[in-house]
Amino acid sequence: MTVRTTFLEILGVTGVAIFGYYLLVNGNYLFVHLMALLQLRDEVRADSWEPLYEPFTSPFLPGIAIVVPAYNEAGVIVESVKSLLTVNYPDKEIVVVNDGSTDPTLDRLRDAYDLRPIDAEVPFELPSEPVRAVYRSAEHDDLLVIDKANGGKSDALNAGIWLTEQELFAAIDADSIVDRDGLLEIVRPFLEYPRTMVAVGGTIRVSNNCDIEHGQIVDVNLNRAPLVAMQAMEYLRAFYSGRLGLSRLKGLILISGAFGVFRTEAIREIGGYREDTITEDFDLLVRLHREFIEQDRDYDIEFLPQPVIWTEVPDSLRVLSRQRRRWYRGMVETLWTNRGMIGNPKYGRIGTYILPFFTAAEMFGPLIEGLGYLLVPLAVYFGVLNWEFLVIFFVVTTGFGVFLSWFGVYSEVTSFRQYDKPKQIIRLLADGVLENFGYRQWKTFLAWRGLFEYLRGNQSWGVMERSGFGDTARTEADRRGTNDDDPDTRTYLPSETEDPFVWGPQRPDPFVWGPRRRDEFVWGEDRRDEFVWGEDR
Amino acid sequence: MAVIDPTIELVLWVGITILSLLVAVGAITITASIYYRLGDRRREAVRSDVRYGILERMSSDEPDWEGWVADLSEVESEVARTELDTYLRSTEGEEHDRLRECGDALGIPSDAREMLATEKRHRKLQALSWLALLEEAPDPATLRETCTADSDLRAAGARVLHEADHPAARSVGTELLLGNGDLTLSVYGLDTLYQLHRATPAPLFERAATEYPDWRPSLIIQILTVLRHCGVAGRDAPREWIVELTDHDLPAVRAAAVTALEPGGWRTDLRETVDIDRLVEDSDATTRRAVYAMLAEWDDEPALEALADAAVTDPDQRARVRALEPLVDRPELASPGAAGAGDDRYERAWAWARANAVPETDS
Repeated sequence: MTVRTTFLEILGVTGVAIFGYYLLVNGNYLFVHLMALLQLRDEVRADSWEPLYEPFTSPFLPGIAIVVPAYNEAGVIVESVKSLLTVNYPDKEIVVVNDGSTDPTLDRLRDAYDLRPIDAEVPFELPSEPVRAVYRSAEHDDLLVIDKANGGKSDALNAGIWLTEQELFAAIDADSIVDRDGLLEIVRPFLEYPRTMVAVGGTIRVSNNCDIEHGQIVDVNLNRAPLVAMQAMEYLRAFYSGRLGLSRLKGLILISGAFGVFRTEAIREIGGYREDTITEDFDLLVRLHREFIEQDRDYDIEFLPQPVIWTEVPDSLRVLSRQRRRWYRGMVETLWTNRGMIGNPKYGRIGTYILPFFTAAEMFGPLIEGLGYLLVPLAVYFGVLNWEFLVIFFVVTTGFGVFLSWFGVYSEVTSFRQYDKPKQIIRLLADGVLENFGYRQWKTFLAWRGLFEYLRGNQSWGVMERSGFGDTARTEADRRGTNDDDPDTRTYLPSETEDPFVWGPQRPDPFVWGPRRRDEFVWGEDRRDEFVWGEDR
Repeated sequence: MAVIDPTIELVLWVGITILSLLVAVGAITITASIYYRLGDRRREAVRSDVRYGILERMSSDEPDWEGWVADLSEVESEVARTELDTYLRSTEGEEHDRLRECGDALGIPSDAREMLATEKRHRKLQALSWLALLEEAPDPATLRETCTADSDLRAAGARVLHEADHPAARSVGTELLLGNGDLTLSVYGLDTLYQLHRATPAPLFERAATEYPDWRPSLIIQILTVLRHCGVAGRDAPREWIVELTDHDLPAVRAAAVTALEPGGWRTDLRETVDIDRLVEDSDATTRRAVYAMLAEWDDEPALEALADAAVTDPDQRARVRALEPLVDRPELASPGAAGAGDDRYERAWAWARANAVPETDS
């Protein structure tokens, strides 16, 4: 047997294996999507009647701390806080954590809200960089500002979580827009399962090009840029199919950092957010599962499709590339850190089904798909596989991918209809097709690149750039030419988290968690500064 | 006739199947989108007229709802129902009564009673929501038959009786809500139970005292939470069971029990029953913090002294701060010089409690 023959045999077997792998993964995707449909049906039915009570006046609502990490947010922080103060919720505390900003973020807050220092040292240990001072507003006693040394987003979140006395806390990005009644909605599971509910996630949607008034979305538009519209479709698929399906299966392993509510004590018990990870939201939830299962404690984690937070997504390939690579690195890192759970019956369905599926689909899926794009045509070229196989491969992977994407759009049309115009729906359906011709392949390339970066030990967050809602604002990063590939300028971002866990077939990015976008926000001032969080890691 | 290669045939079938699925999903999605959008437009086109019609008659002495409704098209009638739903939730008194008459004219009560007889859960819930808005209580026996499948149905059934001010509202409503104690309350149920008992909570105390051993821990916590917020119960309302629950295996139940005792501090007999020494040594810090909140609420000399002692001995710094906060106005009890001199952690906790006392705000 010659080397050539052996090579060709391996090539042929690999091609068939890749095809089989796809059938298996996509079969599971279909299963999760079907679960999502069932869950969505229940949610829509639940939404078809309205209980006869006023949540806002209920004496039962638990207190919530809205923890807002802020680094160099001078341009937007005042309006952000103003918006959060108007969110409908009777017992809330806004905790802004100034993470060692080098711009006048703190001064702006001090001037706008008449901050008065609490003239005492924080009496308990905070798992964060040192706190320089804590302020309370003389105008709004539900506004607390922590001024601390720079330590990054996780560090800032931990400072807020440890300092607040509220029973629950919400991690919300400073420049995202929460539905005015979003908090009232998202606490429901905590009231219904007071002993066991530890975390509830809401839906993230794309705000680029939406009309905003008084800090609220008033008209939902699809951005004309194909890149943004495709992400809008990905988010639909991720939340209305992926997360909802996983929630139905009691296997939710990700709540986006941009919008999640947690039981404060539960998060303190597991040590808060890890500071040495680049996707702290994913890490937190997997760790929550791990710790609670190991302690044999009853717990529930839920996802709700209706409370929505609106956030801006990248509108340039360069920024999106950075974002997705970072998410991929973070996913690999978290899965590697928790590898002992994968396939381990001790961790119940999380260990035996959810994590193995997730690893196969989200971590290996894009890598294998990328290999398939190289090997299958090669095998056909060398005559190891016939062209019919190539056609089947393409038709099955692409066709099924489109099918699952359209499922997400169908779910939107038959449920909460934020995109309510037929034109928007047709556009989303078209994007579900178009993403298979270039965009999807590009994302498999990003996954490979992200893997290599992870193996090289790259822990950077990258610079997030803001384009603003519908305008042409440029970022400081652009002006300075900052790039996360440049070690001298590498930085990481705060919140950008979100990510739709875009489950889809191939799903290369499915998981849009991680940092994301941030762009200047409508509420007011121009925010052209680059969003850098902390220092190079 | 040419024979097709089996492989090609397979390719074709796979392609046709996937393409068919895509066409079906795409066509259904687009059709549904257009259908819903057209419905939106039809409704929006008549909404302002319908709204005007309702508001105009709402303040009229002779609204002639029947005549108005008779002239409504199907779409207008549908919009009238959604508008009516909105207004019924935000009005009271005479205006509310007028709107209820509008509901009658639209035939909503009879439709709702029919819907209540269906097997579809969400239809039942819609029916119960309408009946509650219109204060039209079905027969309690009907509710017992149709509203026991889950927490939401139970809550909606109980709420109808409450809204209609039915004489059996409290007893039947509570029975529906609590069932066999094997379910937890929905948020709606929690609020409904509170509304049923907020004025006179004694019957709920009595019921819970005998039935709580059969309840799930989550339901116990919910009932304790409701009782915490209800008005002052009479001296006869049994609370011994709550005191017993302060020794429950689960910290969350212990904390909820302690919290439920907060408003009972005026009863000296109750205070004497509670073993403060045991409570302040609870193994769970969250429960101890609840104990300190209870003692702060009681606010008598023994309670404050217990807080002062706990502030020195509690190993949890956060709990220690909680114990010290109520003592800010009684510094002679809490000052480091009096109790914790030399203890740096105590002094830091005390300084924080004083500095963090929320001042009067300008707003």
